[in-house]
Amino acid sequence: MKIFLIVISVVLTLQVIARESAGVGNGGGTVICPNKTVLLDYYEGQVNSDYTYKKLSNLTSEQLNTLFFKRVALYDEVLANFLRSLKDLYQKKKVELDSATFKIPDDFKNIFYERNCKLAVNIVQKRPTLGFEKIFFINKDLYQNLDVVTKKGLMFHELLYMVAINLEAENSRQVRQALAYLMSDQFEDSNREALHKNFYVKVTAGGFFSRFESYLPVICPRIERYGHKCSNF
Amino acid sequence: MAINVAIFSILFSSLTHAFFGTEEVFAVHVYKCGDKVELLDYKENYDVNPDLNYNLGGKSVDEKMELLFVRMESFEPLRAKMFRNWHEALKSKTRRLKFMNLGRPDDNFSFVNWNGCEIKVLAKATDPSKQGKTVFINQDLWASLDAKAQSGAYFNILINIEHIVYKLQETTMNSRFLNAVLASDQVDSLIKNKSKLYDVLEYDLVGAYGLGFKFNVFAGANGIKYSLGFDNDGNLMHGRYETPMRNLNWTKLDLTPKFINAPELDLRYYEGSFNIKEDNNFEMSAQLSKQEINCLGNYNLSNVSFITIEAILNEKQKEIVKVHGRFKIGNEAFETIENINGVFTPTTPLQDNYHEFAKKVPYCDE
Repeated sequence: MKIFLIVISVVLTLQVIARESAGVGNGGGTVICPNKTVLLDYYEGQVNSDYTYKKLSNLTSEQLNTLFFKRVALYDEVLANFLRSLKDLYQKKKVELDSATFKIPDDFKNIFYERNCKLAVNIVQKRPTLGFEKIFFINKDLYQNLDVVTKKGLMFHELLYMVAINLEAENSRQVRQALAYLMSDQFEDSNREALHKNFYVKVTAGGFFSRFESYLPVICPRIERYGHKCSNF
Repeated sequence: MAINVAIFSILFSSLTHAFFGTEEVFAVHVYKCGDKVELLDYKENYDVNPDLNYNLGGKSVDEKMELLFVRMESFEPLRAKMFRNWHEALKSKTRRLKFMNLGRPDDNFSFVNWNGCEIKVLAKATDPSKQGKTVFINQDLWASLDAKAQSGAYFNILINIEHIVYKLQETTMNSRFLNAVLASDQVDSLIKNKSKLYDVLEYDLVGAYGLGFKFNVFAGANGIKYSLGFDNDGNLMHGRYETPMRNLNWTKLDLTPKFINAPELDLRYYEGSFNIKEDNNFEMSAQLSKQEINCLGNYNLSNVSFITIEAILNEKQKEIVKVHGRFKIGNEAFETIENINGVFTPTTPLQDNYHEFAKKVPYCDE
């Protein structure tokens, strides 16, 4: 098992090295329409999978946090704790930028949205070079006008994406699908198998290991480069 | 008008001539935001990181350049020396162009688009070993920069001559980051995170200063092979080194080690490995220079081609402990000459089957 894990780690590491030159992750997006701005993940959930998000609209910021981590923990407690520790990193390492827009990433190119709406990148995460730099960059002009559901959704997206990108996800498409499912009203009717297929597999870039704990030897050294230690959680 | 066209043609021809000579051309960029022009390296890093702030000091460009060199010295002495020499040499290799556009920006830029700002090419540079001018500056933009941006632009050129021209990196994103950190209040983090930074920049670790190796000018050019390891405090601990087999035309390298107890021994080429532990011993294989007198103590090794030297590091100087080779001294053949109480003395006899390969070693006063 150890040898197998080493082989997997080497393969994953080589893939990351090949791809990580710029170190900038795909952004957390929103679809801005005349009457409403929606998290891209939820927008796609509605359009592509008929998900609804009625429950979210009545929740406070704290209740949204609780719901997110509780639903993740239903599948894997370790992953939920890992994401909780990344939330602390997010709070410490975010910065809001004035008078700036962010470049549209490649994986936003095949997204369908209504004619009178537009797509925007609200948050970008960037792997630090020396450790002191900020990691999460927020477009302040856009962000300050968002409702709490979208703000929290952006943060959840960034946390899940940090896991996915460090487990070889090529872009944030799968993460968007995972979050769209996790926070939807339809989640309530799911069983463990559906949760595995619609959430866990997409966040862990294929769900090679069925328990997140097995990914820790791979992901922890990578997360340390963000100035965050796994021993913190 | 005709004169303008002629001047333009001449300048354009010299530009294209310089640039087509090599693939490795890089550009220095600025952000033009209304009337304000800022060095891209600084804006893209300082404006997104509240914990990274310019704090260089100095007023004039020269003062700021000196401070940048001093900071580089504390981080990497040999590289600082190399950059100083490049900076001096490039003064006569720089052409300043008025009323000319140096082309479209083409690099890996920040993920941020600053509202109302436009990226412009401030300068282009190529292999400084090429003949003629190798740095071209848009003087119209240059004139609108303050001393902070001008000194930063000069340093960008020095860093990228190594990063792009010699190390063949594809973009200047990481070297621009180094340039920004070097002029910032986070400069100490460069030293603390040396190996991490070198990983990103793919820098050679040219830190063999402690062994008495000396870069006279333009070290870091093609042909030098180093692989050095440092401990957690950044002290040189082990590695491999090799002299360049071929120097660049304008490059004069003097990497010949001088041994305190064999000042007349002249090595033409050497390579080896060292591991600085408690005893500070190291070993190198060397090809000797072919000259009439090439003395190790009283023994003239002019006829000997290859030797292996065991040496000890002593306060930045090197002292030979033992030399291995095939030496015919008088009627006997030896495989070692050892330093015994300060006198080089033949010791281990050469095995019989190697006698025919032994080279005659006369005395130096013969």
